[in-house]
Amino acid sequence: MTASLSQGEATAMVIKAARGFGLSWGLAEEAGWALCQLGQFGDDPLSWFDRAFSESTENCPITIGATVMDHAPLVGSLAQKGGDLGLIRMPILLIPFLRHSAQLVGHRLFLCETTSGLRVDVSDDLGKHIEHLSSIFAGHVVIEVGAHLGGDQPSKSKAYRFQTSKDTLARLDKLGSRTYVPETEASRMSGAGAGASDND
Amino acid sequence: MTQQTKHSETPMVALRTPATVMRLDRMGAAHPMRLSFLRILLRRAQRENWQFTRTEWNVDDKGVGHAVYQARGPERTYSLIAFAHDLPDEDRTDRVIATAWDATFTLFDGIPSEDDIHRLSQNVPHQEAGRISEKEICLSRANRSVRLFNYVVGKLAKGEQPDAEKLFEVGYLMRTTAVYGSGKFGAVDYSAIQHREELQAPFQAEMLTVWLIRWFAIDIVNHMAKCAGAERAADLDPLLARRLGVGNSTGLGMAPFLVRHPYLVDAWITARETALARVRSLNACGQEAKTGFLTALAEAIENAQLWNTSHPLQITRLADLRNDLSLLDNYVHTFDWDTKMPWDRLWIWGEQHLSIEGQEALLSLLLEPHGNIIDDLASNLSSPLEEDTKIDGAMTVSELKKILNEHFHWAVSTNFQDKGENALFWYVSEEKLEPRIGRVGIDEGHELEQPLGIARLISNLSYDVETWNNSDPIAAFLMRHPEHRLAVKRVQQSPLNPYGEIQDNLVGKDTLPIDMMRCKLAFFGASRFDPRSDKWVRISLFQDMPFPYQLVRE
Repeated sequence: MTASLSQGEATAMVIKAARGFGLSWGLAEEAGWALCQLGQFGDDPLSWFDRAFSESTENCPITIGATVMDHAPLVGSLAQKGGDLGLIRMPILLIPFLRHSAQLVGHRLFLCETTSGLRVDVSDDLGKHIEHLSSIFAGHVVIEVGAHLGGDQPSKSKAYRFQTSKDTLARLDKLGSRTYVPETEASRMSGAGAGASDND
Repeated sequence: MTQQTKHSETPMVALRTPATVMRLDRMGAAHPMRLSFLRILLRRAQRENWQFTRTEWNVDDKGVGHAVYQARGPERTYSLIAFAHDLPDEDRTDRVIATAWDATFTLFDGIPSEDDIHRLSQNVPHQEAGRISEKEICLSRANRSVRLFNYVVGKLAKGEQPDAEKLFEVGYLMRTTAVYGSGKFGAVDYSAIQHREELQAPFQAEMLTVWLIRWFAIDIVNHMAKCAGAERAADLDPLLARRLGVGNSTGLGMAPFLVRHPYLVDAWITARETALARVRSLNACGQEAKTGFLTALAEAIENAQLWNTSHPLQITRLADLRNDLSLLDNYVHTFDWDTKMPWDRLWIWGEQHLSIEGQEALLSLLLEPHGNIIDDLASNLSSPLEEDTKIDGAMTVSELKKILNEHFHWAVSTNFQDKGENALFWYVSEEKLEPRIGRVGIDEGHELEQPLGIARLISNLSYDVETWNNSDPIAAFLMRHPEHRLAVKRVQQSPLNPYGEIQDNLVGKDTLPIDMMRCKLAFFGASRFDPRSDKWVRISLFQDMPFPYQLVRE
């Protein structure tokens, strides 16, 4: 069984799941932004987040991706010189952060996964690599610097629909539910409108 | 600090500062105005000669069935599909816990086929428990006013008109309890349709939905009267109908919006404040503008008299407003309209003599007759996608501190050691997935607090960043302190969005969520703000305004 979600729904779901997974609210929002960027590649980006959020927050592609992106404009940064990122869970989720970093520094960046030998220009059309990239649950990632990027403008977010399985939704929902507070009788009584007649 | 207007404007009179206008008490005194979203919709529909038609009415004697209303603009058609239900009185509640309503609606993008209507009939009546698709823009529901609906049906069924006073006391036949848009429950995302000229101003699809619901409310009351009274029955007098709006009942769900969208809030407030500055900067007052202002003042005085509320705080504010409008009425009748910059003189007098309620009402009155110089600001009410704004990791700690000093004194100076400043927390209820406010130390769930206490987040950031070297980059700070990422982003955004932050502590013991709601609802164009508690309000939309089918005749 599959479900079709609006981008707003999918984003909200990923933000809550990221927070439930243990990321800060600011990083959780970055996860939501990354989902929107990945929507253009079709397939099932929600399932990639589901897999990334399945174990501990170590080797998290959102935390590491955001850190690479934050440092990109600094002299000698990994986005400027290239370097070894080490083991990353679901490295496909690095793509939005590396694409943005490439725009910031003005040259191409290559995501290289050493075990499989995959080498991807993150600013390129990634269509043909998506299946392979999304299949890597954990990979050793090295960033390489390429040629000048040219006058490309940062891509604007567009609205995409997200198709995913009910199982993926259920798992992300479960993570997101860690951010909810169960109602108590007391909270029900102090909620908006409680105790007042609204049927008039 | 003087705010410069955007778009290279330099009015003679400075805009009011964020420190003045972004306070909760003043936001909680906001009034609807020319740039309110429903007014923008009405002007566009009139200007572009939109055509409105009820294309389907398939409702039985019990009031069960569906209807379709079409709004045809120059490029596109939108259709409200209304599902009418027979709801027992005991099942009727406005709260989000409800599972059934008197009527449910969706705004369809285009003209629905029979298959579309069938599909929607299986989902729209269930609201949150159903699913809509990218063909739909909004999802909504409404309940009948128990005070009024059956009374009006009874009168009309006998061929009589309802008592006007009783009608105006309530002000609506039906009350929406939610109007969802922007991707909710499967609907199309706003970002997919915001390029359409008619949807660029905020919440235009939602306003169109409510406007068409108002039409449906009149149709269903006339229909029920006909079913009860047959040939004897009368239709509701159009003049009486026009005095009725659509009620709206709103809880806490609306309040966090203003915190979560600083770019958008900045755009709204900047447009309003620019409009005020333009009017104040006028050198002279024409006869037409003077007449328009005095007419608007007379209407405001009448509206304040008809405005009912039972909430102690709003009763006080309403008393202030009535008193202020009376003072203003006296003053303008002795005012020297030939003086230089008369509108500015009037405004300055208002600042010196009126309460906050009166001042904000005066703002709306000043804007009213000046559409020719302010209506273009409607196109400035949108904002770029906030999600696309990224952290500037190269910013130094020193630069961040400078912004904190210049823009966040209100947050950094709050003493969060004081329990009163940490009295509340915002959370999401597991039961209904809606925002709630809990009391620290009393209610459970503080550890699951939502990041809406911006003042405290900024204060914590300021404390931690203090120990870092001024030359350190923010990227390094965030690697060590990912918990401050959200606050850093807001700080970095703030110089470009000076009106983006509510400059009050939203977790302090005195916080009134209804202040946030009133600000947002005033931008919608809502009137008759009537808090039922400090977390829940009722308002009216489109009251005294034309119905869609009346628009072209005006």
